[in-house]
Amino acid sequence: MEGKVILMLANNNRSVINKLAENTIRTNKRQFFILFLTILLSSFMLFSIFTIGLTYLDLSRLQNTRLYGSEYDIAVMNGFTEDQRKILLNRSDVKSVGVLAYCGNVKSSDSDRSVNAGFLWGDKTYWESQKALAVTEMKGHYPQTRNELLATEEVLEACGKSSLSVGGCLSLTYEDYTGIHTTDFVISGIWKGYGGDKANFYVSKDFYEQTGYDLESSGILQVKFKSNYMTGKTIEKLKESLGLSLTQVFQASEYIERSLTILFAVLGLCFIICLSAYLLIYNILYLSVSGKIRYYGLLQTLGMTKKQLVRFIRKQILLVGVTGITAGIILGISVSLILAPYVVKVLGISLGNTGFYFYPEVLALSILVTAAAILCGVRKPIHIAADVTPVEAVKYRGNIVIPCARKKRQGNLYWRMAKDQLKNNKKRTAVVFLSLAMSLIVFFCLTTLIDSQGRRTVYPNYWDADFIVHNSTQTTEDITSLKPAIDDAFLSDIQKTAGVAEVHAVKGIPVVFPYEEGGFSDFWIKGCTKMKPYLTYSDAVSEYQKNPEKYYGMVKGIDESEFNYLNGSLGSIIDRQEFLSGKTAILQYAGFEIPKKWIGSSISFSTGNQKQEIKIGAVSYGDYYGATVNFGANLIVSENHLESLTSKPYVLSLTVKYKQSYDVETEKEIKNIIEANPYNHDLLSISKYDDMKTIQDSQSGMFETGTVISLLLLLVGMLNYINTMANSMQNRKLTFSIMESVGMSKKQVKKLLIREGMLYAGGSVFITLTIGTGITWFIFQSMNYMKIPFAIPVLPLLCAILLVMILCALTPIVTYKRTVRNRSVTERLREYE
Amino acid sequence: MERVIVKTNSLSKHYHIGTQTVIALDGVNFEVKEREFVSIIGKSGCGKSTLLHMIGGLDLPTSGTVIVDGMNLSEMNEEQLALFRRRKAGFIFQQYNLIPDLNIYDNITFPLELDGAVVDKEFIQELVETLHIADKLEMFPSMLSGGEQQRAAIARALATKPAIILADEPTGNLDTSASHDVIGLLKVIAEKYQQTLIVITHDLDIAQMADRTVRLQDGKIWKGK
Ligand SMILES: Nc1ncnc2c1ncn2[C@@H]1O[C@H](COP(=O)(O)OP(=O)(O)OP(=O)(O)O)[C@@H](O)[C@H]1O
Ligand SMILES: [Mg+2]
Repeated sequence: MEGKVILMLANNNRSVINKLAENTIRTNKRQFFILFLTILLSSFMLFSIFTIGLTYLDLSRLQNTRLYGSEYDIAVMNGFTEDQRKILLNRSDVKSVGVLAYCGNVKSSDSDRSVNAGFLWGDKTYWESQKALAVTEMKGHYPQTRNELLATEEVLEACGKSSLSVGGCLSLTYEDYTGIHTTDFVISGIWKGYGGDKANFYVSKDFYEQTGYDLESSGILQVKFKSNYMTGKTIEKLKESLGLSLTQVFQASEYIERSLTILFAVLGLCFIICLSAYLLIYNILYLSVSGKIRYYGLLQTLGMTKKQLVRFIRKQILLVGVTGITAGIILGISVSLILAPYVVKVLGISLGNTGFYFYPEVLALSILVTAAAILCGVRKPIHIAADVTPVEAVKYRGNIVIPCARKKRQGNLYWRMAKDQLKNNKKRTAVVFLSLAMSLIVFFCLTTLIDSQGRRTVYPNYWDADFIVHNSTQTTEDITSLKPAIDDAFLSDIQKTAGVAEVHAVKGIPVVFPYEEGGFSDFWIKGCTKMKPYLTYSDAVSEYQKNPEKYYGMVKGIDESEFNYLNGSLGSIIDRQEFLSGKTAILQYAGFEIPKKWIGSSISFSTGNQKQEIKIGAVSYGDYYGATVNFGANLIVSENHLESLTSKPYVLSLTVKYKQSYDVETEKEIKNIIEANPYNHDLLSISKYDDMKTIQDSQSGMFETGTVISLLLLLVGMLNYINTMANSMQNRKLTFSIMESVGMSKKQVKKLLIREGMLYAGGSVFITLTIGTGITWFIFQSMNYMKIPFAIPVLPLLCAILLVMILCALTPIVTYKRTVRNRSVTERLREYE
Repeated sequence: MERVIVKTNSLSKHYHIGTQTVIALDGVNFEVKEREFVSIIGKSGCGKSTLLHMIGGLDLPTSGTVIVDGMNLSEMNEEQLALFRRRKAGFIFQQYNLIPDLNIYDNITFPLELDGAVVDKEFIQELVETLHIADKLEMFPSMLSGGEQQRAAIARALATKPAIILADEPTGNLDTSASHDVIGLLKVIAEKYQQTLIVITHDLDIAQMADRTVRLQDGKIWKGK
């Protein structure tokens, strides 16, 4: 018999080995199917995650572009020279150099006497290549002639002209470097899109040139690099090469400054993903080859040589490997290049100019990593199989470690046996922990990153207010212009709104600072004229003396808790008692330098016909208490003191906090109350909800793709667990049959299996929460150029953990049921005879 | 001898392999009284193991009934059968069937642990010493010789002091003197704990140690020439 086999193999061994390989695969269908699935899943995961991941990166850059309003990496501000522009244009790593300039602000229109809007001019490069990505819709054209304006719906509404369309006319009073003018304009175009420039008009080059502003002192250069990743050194060198003047400001975007760190973090994530794919294949391969050592030993006893055996195993793995990779890539292509774009289209998500593309590099990487894992994974078990003697092979049981002398047996039988299972199969335990923990960690990491994107809307105030209403009835030169737009009835309506938790009001009254030569008002008017070059100091002084009301200022009152916050932000330099009793005030910064000497000095002002005096305690550079348009200074005093100055202060702004942030109902009601206010055109509102919507809008597609990636990873991790468990059940079914034959009931088997599953789940969750939090924190911080505080996305993480737990508990039971099918104990035992 | 503890009524077991039907047992009527020692002999493939499996609650008959200690096994659900195997029957398999993941001691005490019962350490010690495997307790089944594994399997079957001991060629791998020792031990223990003993064997010497010998042929009880 033996002789016959040897002869047969020697004569025609190629075809015999081929036949044997095919037959073995056929008879060990399950084992090979598991291996096939693992290879398929890994190549699928690599391909689709990298393809979708690249789209995600594109989308996150698009979001930056949208939030910044245009695409640029570096801005040179406060003017630039033509030479500097040339230097930048001549660089090979620069993609585009755009020019943007501010050239005036609108004060009123023929429909609204108090308007807050600016004039901007951008050159062709700026508008057509840098701004284009943030523009979603454009009607008409960029202004060509002096009287043309490019508008947004927002700016038209601010001018009280929301009914205007392209071709419409409006009259605007604006201030530029040469003075205040009133001119008729034609709307040449209206654009929709993203950016802080939506509250401005774009003007033509001709218009810009007559406003008195020049590029050398106030223009902005915007530079976009060809590459998305730049080293800090390159940027530093570029900065040096420009020879900047003292007043020029060179600003690299937060993104490009950290781009290299981000790249490394992304590569790190890729590495983890590749590593997990690699480990999985390696281990499943290892387990499935070593699980058949007995069979290979038998082949050797029948006379197969080592060389033949090695070739035989390779043949099997090659067959499974090639089909697995091919199927995985095909599945990856269908999911990431057909299904994902389709879903995005159905959901109506705009991806701008990005999308899901086929990257040959991704294909190569996926095949390479999978193939490498197969090649490495097959080497060791092949050696074991080939080196084991036939007799050893028959007894081969894998890497069971002989436990040292048993300590006292204690505790629950099932827990003990479950623990032993994990301990005795270190390799399998490691694979399960790794695959589950890795997918949980990557899920954790990605949801944290995605979640932080959603929290890019962070309010600078200490309250994290949900809604702010400003009274903007005020005009610059008319002390009587301020109207009680926010009155008691309005205030109580808002307070009475169901979802409102707290309302703070900043109140104020206009005051006049009498002109004193060399005094505070003299200093102040000097500062103002520096910022408005069309005013001369001497004209302003004589005007001031004639008509001090024209240069009125504002006294604002704040309550104690706001004082505590403000004082805290100033370094607690103000004596609390003095402030509350009205002895000191805080001066609000107005755009020019305020020398130290004014701090501690007293200034006088008058309300109505009362004369007052107050000491300046500090200067506040924040504009949280509302920007006012008056020429004169703004003083912040205590609420009580303000009330002692006047019986009827005006409410300048309301800060509203909801019981539930982003509460749609409350938001709607407050907007209705504002709508019903007769001054509604002069009530300026800032809403956290709207900001959140804008940000969400700018992120279109990001959240979805990110979620798809993290869910894919979670899914692959879970499938891998199922796979590993199915494999281990395959190796353990004899054990269970024996246990049942000596009286273990199915219920008891299940108890044991559930405990094993819980140990796997517990271990992976523990790794995720410890090491995973560390990794997530590290990756988050290195990618966090927006300086968003680190926060764990508790809900998705909890859901994922719960899912993993359920899966861990159920998988072994289901696979057990599947191996048992309806067969009796004896039938199952016979399989091994 | 008193009451009947095992009774089968026209017990049949058929196996279907594709379109073929193998009749392993064919209307077997068989009785064993309490505390009796019965040996079963017969040619290979005549259905000895199948019969023992039915009595041990390891498999269900195609037709007919098996009543053990007043319980009709064919009417019991899986849960009850498992309890029966654990508490009433001690089975010694032809292939030993030790649990590869557990060491010998754990293998022996496993059915007790399943019941959450307190392990009678002295009794176990006595068992393993008599069976000469006291020094193998920390080892795993794969490290033991066939005979040692067989003795471990015997220890496991006896550990729960079952009412009925079912042994499928318990001496298949033992030399003659060891075989006699093991059967002797089984007899002593069975008498001590008032157990019923059913042993399948090829060894006529051993068969003769029993109170009664039953011969199976082609799935039927052989009624003598
Ligand atoms: N699960 C099964 N599927 C198909 N046929 C089976 C099955 N179990 C037993 N048989 C058949 O039933 C018959 C009786 O088998 P059994 O194992 O009871 O024989 P045995 O008397 O114990 O033989 P041996 O002395 O060799 O152990 C045999 O012909 C066997 O092929
Ligand atoms: Mg048999």
